[in-house]
Amino acid sequence: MSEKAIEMQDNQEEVIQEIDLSAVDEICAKYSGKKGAVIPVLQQVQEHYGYLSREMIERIGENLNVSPHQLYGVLTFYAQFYTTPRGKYVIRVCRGTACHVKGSGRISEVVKEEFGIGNGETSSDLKFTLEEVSCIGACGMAPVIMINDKTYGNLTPENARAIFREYANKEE
Amino acid sequence: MVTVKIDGREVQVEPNSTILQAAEKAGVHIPVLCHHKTLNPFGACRVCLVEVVGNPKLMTACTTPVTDKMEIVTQNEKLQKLRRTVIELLLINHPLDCPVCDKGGDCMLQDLTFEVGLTNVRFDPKPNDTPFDHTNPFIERDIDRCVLCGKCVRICDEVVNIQAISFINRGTETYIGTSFDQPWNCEYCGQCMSVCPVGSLNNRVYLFKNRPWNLEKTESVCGFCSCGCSIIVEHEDNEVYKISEDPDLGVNHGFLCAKGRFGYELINSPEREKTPKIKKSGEFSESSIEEAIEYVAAKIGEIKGKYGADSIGVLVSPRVTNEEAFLAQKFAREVIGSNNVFSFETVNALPEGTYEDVENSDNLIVLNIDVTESNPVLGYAIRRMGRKEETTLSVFYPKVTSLKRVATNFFTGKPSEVYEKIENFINGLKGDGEFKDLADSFKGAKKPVLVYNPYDELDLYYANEIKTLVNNVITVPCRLKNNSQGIVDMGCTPYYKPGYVKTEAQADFRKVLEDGSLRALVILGENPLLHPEYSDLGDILGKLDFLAVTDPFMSEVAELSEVYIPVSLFAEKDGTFTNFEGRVQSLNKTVDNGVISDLEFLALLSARLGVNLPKGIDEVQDLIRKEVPLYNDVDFNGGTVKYPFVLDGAFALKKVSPKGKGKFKVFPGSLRLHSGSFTRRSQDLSRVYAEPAVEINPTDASKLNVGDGDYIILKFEDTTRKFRVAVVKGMPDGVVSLPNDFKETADLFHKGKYLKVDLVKHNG
Repeated sequence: MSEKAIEMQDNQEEVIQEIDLSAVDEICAKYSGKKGAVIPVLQQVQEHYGYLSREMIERIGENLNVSPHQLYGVLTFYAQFYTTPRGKYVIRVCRGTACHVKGSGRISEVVKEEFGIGNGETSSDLKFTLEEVSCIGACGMAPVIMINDKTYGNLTPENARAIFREYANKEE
Repeated sequence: MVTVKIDGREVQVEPNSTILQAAEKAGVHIPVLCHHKTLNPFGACRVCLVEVVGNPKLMTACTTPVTDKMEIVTQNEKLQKLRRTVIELLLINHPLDCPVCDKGGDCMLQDLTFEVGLTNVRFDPKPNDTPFDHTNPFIERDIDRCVLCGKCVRICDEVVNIQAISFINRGTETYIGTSFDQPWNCEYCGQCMSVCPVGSLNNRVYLFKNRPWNLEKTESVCGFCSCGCSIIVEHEDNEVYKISEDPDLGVNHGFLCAKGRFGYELINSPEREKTPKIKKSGEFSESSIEEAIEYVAAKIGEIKGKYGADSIGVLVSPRVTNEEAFLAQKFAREVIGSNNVFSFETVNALPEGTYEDVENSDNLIVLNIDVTESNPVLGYAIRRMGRKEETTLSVFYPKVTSLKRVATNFFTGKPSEVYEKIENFINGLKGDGEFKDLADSFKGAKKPVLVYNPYDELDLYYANEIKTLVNNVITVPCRLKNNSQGIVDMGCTPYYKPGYVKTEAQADFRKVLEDGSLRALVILGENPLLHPEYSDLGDILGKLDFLAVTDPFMSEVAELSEVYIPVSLFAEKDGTFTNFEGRVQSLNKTVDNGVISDLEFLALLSARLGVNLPKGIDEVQDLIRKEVPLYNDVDFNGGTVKYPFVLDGAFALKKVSPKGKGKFKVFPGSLRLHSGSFTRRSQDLSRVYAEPAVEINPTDASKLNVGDGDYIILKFEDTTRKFRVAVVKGMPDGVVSLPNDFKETADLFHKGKYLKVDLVKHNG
């Protein structure tokens, strides 16, 4: 884990303290008394907060009468659930065969150089998350990345860097 | 019934049986690993694969239901090879560190490896370098040895319902763990450990103390609470090494609790006394048994001669066996000639419901008792009931307990508010109020059951109301100690002779002590100083003309005695206990620590006083059958007693009125791990719960600026006392609980069951 990521974890604990968990109760209330509520509740809570923290899991457990340990078992089983905050922009770098041959490893390195994050990590300003994925299914455009829903192909380290900086400078 | 043929043997089985069950009936052995008879079928390990004729796919015997005329092959070359491979593959993920594994010799995987004839593993093992996890005080965890059979996860969910562990991650990264890898925090019942087929979960109390093949196993009954669990005492050379279970024995299906499974070290405790002591000019000096008996006999003879038989009394603890209790009252009534035989047990509420009634109930009410703490194995039965579809489980208790997860309704609040809700429920039974719906469903239930605390007068009042208003309700009084029921059956009360024959003279323990009419007292194992109601009697007891105490340990009251005689514990004697269901079960002597039993003490003492009471266990039991009609035709190995009444007495409606003026309301809490009197002698249990703690909710705790494990000062009237803090969710605001039978708390609760106290942070 990079230093930045560790620092981010420290910050995260403070962030967690401030999170208002009332949305968890609201989401759970919709499923009160219903069977098979765990996965939809986890999905919706994650959709609301961007990830699932220990506190959220405990709150869901209290609401649904399921132990947090069982919930954690479910959420670690599925790749769709995250236990740490995710960046606003999720950069998915394709590490499939075609992209690998065309130098996608360099693209990941550029992400690291720009934001200091490795695979699975999130930048401390919660703007970027890097995810290396097996194949996006656009091998003709290798090397290819996705930033949220947008796809960028035929990348070089240089134009990738330009794209990343564009996102970094985006104003909200 | 359907007919199936297994390895050529025809057998008739129920339509929904699995192949494994059919094979068991046919006497055919199918190897299993992840299967356990008390759990739902799982089919994870593939060890039980069999061939079904006509089906090209192999089937797991533990999950596949049989069909009529099914033909099953369990043994052929192909299956043998396959099983060998399955085990070989399991051994990739299981280190071959058997010489340093505590499970060696008692390990299913070892046995299976031998059974399938595997002598060499062709694959490289995965690294075995994860450190042991000792976050659980009783269970050692080695993740590397885990074969992911899932039995621990399933039993923790299906039986205990704590769900303290789960499968984490998926595929090759799966392991058994907790949410966010927190330390293991659970009820410490050890069920997971009891079903672990390998050395992944080990008993830390027993760890590396012996080898399984050295241990002799003796069936017996647990000597802690009134659940009456069957246990296997594993012992060698007069020492108890382990308490284990057998799903086929008794009422508990092989389930135990932390106390029963890990508390046994008190048998081997270094605090145990071995020689009788006589106090001369304020100092105890050791004596022989003969000398001590002689001394007691002489004193009793002298006092009887001077002040008459009624100046002598006997106080009996619920720890003694039925046989001892029977002799104790015989000693008082026939040898001494006095009706002064006392116990602190309630005589107004007798058993009715059984475990089966609880499990099969469709509507159950837990009335103001934390039953999963006070009677843990009864708690499992209630959880089983609560988990079933279409059942209603309602709990009235000040704080949220672990039944919350399975309860349909959970009513909490200040103790007075809880009683208001109970009152409203009773009004509902009478036809109106906010609880009418619940009351109607309870009334209309096929098998309504009421679980309650028979020691509280107000609870008895409400239980009696419910019993009167709902015809078919089955009541379950949760007695506390191993033989709480038996000693009353045996007449250890001034109110009844054995078998609930009313007596004429009915002395009150407190009264005869306070008015000085009682001059001498023989206490068998009881400790009034830790009993909230009698904790103030120390001075009077200390000033009696004569006090003799028998106890396995030098208790607080034994310190006051003139003669102290150390006696045996449940593992060291024969006899019977009667549990909260009224079920009589036999215990077996397994070890001898060189001390006499209360039975021998009573027989020796009576003989010295000129009356020969029977001494052998069989003779005493014959006499019980003869003189206690209630026990006449009861099987002493699991039969239940038919009682003459369920609830009897004029129960008064006394509203809760907490004593004191403070801001926080205190109610007495129950503890699963141990009580403050006898089980605190188990070092292992006491390590986990060393001193009584004030349970408080997070909001109140943060207002007081205290955290879990901090100290807090409790002020009640002119008493101030320091306690640990345990922060628990689900305690109402402004309410705290404290166990009431510790030496640090008994005198507080002597002032009242509910107190108003002030709490402040302890600095320093």
